[in-house]
Amino acid sequence: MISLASMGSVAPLTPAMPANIQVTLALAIILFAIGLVGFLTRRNMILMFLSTELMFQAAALAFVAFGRMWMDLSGQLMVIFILTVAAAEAALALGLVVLLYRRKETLSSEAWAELKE
Amino acid sequence: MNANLFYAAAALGAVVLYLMMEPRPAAFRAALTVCGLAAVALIISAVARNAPVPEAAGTDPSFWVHVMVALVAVAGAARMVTHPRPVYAALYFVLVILAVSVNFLLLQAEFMAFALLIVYAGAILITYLFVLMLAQQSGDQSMRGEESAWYDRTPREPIAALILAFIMLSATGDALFRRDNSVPWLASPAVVARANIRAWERMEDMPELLLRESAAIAETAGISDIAKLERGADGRLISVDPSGTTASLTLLSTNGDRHPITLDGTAAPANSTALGHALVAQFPVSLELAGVILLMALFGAVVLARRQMAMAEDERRAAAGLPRIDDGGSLSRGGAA
Repeated sequence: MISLASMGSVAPLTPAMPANIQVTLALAIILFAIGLVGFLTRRNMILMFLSTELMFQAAALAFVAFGRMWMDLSGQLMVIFILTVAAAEAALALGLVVLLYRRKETLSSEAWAELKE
Repeated sequence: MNANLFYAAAALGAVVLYLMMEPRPAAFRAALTVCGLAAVALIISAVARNAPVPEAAGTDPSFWVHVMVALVAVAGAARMVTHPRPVYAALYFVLVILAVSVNFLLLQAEFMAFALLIVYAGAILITYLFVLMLAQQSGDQSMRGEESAWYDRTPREPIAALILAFIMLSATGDALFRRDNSVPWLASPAVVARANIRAWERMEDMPELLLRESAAIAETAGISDIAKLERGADGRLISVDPSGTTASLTLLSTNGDRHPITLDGTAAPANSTALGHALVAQFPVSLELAGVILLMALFGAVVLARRQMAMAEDERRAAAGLPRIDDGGSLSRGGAA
């Protein structure tokens, strides 16, 4: 009887240490809160979008941490889709921002305040 | 007790973030950095002390790496949302991405760690930097000799935003302290067994990898004439023990000898192999939808860029005294061509 203890290209599945998961989740919610602050306080349109990317990072971190906790790959798969959406958002949002910049020659979101009327 | 420490540290962090919003002298900035890092360290210690078996954390080196990465990420994020110069803010975001990808590595998500570096730091952030530099090169009239524009130096409604963020942080952080004891935070035997069974089912779908790896193992035991894997009565290569702790498979030699092999929890496909398999086997429709989203983004970007070109052309024609191109007409012609 041969035991398959160490296969060449295999990685061991070990349970996560709960404190590590907790710290990662805490980091995720702190990053999300900071991203929210950035989105609300920044006046530069590009940096507002960059702050949403920070919130994406926080969500990805929480997904991976929960996936690690349950020893499941679905969390990491969600991060692939987050990356897809972030890439699509960056392309479209930056295209729009350049379009708006050409009109008003400023990146300030206040320049478009008349849109709320 | 720990929860109250968490709220107090979050409030301290909010105050520090408020003070960081305006440009400050260097000594004040250093004091703010110390206070901010202390607030994050307090949050982390409150959360970690509330975890099951907290005493195991202090002796584990990976825990301290987690703490260090968290401090770097939060410092980078705080500087990113407060830095008066946008290009520096984008570069601080790269620091956050580096910290997050190290965190992914620690959580055994190796593929995602490198995908994050390549896609985010390599592609998305470069696009952001391009647009930032494109928009700032032309001597923005709002700069007026300062090193950054007024709208990058003055935050909008910082107190309201920080109160909102504090409430959100407290509400979500509360979940970390109201943990239901039935939730197996310390991956319980049932969770481990389910993960093992999933890994072995993945290996079942990769018979060539399974044969190659198990033949290599058999060779170290002096058996070199492995021909193939034997299928069980149910047609499967791997027979899983109902407890989920072990599984077994049988190798057939060229002369018909049978060599049984026992698998334990360490026999699982590597992260990128398993992730690729799960992506195609578990979420095929989502994978296709992701492709559609990217294609639509591509179309959207092309449409936006075309309209910009038409507008720039219009301005040049107007300056030269020529009649303007009809915007809608040129767009539809462009789309048809």
